[in-house]
Amino acid sequence: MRFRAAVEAVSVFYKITQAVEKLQKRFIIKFTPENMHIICNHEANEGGTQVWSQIKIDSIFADYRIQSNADNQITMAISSEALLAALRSASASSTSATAYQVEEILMKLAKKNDRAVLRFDITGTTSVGRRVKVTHDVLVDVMKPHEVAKLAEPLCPDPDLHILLPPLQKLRTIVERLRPMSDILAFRANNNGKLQVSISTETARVQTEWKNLLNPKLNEEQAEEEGEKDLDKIFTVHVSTRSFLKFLNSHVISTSTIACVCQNHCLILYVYIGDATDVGGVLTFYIPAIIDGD
Amino acid sequence: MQATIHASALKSFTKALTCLARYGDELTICAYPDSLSLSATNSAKSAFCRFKYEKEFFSRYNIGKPRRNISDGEGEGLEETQTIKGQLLAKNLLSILKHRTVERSVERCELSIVEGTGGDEGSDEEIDSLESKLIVKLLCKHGVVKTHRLLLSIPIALLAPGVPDTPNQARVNIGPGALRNMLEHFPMQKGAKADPQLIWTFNESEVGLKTCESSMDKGKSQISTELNISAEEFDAYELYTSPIIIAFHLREFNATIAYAESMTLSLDMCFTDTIAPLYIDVEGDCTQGLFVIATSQPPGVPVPISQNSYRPMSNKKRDREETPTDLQRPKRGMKIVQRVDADAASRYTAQSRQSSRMPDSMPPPLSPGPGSFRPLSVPVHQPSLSPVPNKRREQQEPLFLPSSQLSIAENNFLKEAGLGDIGTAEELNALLEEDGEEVDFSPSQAQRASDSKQIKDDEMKVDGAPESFELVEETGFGPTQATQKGFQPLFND
Repeated sequence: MRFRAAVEAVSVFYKITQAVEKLQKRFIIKFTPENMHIICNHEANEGGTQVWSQIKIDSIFADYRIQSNADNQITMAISSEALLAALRSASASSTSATAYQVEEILMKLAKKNDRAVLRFDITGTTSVGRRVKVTHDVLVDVMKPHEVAKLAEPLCPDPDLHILLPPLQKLRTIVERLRPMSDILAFRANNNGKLQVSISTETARVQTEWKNLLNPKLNEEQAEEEGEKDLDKIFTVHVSTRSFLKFLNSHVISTSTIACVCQNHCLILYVYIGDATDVGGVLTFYIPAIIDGD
Repeated sequence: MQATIHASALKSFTKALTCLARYGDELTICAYPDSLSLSATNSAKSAFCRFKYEKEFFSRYNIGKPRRNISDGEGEGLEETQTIKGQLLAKNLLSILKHRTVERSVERCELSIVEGTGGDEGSDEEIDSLESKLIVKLLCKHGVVKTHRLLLSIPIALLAPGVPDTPNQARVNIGPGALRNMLEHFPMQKGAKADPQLIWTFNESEVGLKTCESSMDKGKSQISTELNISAEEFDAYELYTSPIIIAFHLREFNATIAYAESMTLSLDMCFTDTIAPLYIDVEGDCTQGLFVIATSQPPGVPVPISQNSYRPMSNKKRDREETPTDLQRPKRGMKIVQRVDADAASRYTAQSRQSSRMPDSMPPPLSPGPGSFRPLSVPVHQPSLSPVPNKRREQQEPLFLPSSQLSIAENNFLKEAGLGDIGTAEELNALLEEDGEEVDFSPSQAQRASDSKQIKDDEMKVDGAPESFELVEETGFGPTQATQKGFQPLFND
């Protein structure tokens, strides 16, 4: 099992980690020759939210070498906080002017005291050009192939609609206000560019509505189907406000986000990383519906 | 004591207080004729912080004549230094001075200490006039005057660690910014409990830092970090030998860095070997900051051979001594500050050969063990021990005995009634080791602290060989009543 890579776009890696860090204490990273998958599939996490993501190796790494008996894939469980700390240190130069200038970040799988670690070797220079070397060893559990085989994405019915969300940062400001009022958030949308986010309690009802959003058509077939549908029909899914806020943590990385509603089943959110034209990856959030929320 | 701080100086005063508050809750104020010192010790007694302000720092400073009375006068009179001492919660003073409106509108601040005199002052207050008070008067714009009165308790006198004067000492100087840049690469867990420890390796041309993995959260820490940087990053870099490896906790160190950064001062760090404390000097205009942080033996790092091999030599040159049984690792609880009663503290100074910088500095340790000053539990003393402290210990013990469940005021009466000398040292010891309930008089908190300390110490002894504290830990008997002063002469030879 060999694995090493130079981290080129450390800030992207850092932000992706930031986006999912709050969800689970440990998550799974699966490296394949083409992609990096970050997976949060813990049943017990907040509201059962799952994240399955796929990020192109090229969008973060360079000089990428991977080799293993399991189809050249390496899957590991890693502490999100520790990974975040290592990446924060590596990306320090972009956040503070006086910090060290990072020249190279090497990530590799290594062994330390008989335990597998993901090692980050950071070389840089101080403000006056003296060399600094920082090494982070993040403990990982390399997963066995049969464990990996058990990992499966949740199955969902065909979504009732797709809608392009407004910028997540704006959405977040609103949901943050709703959070203290209710634990359950209603997410409503139709195929005609309308989105409503609302809460309703005994004493208050708050609803925010967006209009003229895009309803992306995934393919021709779907477009035909939709011609027969009532475009104005509103589909509703109730989700945990807290889970939704955790998804909104990904505002740090998102460029565009598409939401899919499977009425009374779940909310699926595709967070695209990088330019719309050259998508570097996508984080998929599954937020289960709260059925008895009405 | 009266001191006036101008608005410009008040800022740096407040910054120092902020730093002190991060070291410990209790702030000890000592006013000397030519300087004012503020000090704090963390609860584990493993870190100590002291700011000393020269007279010139203040726009007006005078200590006033110490009143001669039973409770205060004689002890001071004996050693002929005028000092006024008091202790209060650091955050109480800080919250007054750090207030937003204060920072904007204060023109000057007058601090004065009114000593408890038993009558002629404080008649307009409800409070016990035996108590000393710190009066903070803030003179603001538009003639607004804000006056705060803070109660001063009698300090649990602590002997500050004295700075050793030894050739076997490494001295490095570095700016706070450079340190911050180094430390920011280390993952800091948030929360009050987290107190990471770093191992510093000073090589000839390179400095290495790494996270200490054997800290309490062993196994829990998911990341370990190592940083190597050129020694040139330090402005001064003098080692007597290399490598020198020390490990210490960062909580208090970070407080020091924050202070140095806010004052744009550089840190002068002195350390001798792996188990001597780390001394940091941060000096500004008319201000001396001294920070002492206990170091511990980094796990996995063998005790340097040099430690033993240079011993004979070092014995000639310094009072400090390590016993060959040193190998046991000091824990976090390594004490660098010893507790004595205020009286003895000043007398130590008189006897101390060391040119400590402050009258209250404790002389470099005379004996190796934590309990060596406790005659009962450590019957055999190192021959090198100076007999003086022991004798004094014994003399002081009876004074402490009857008061262990009494408030200061009651104690005072007892003393004055001549009951202070009952009880033997054995009884005292037994008393101290009992985990008895204590009446919750507020001043007796100090006693409780000393009780628990005593117990802790005993446990440590059970562990095995006395731990090799560089500085002597004088525990347990820390008498907390200043009223002893009145009695002290009775027992003087």
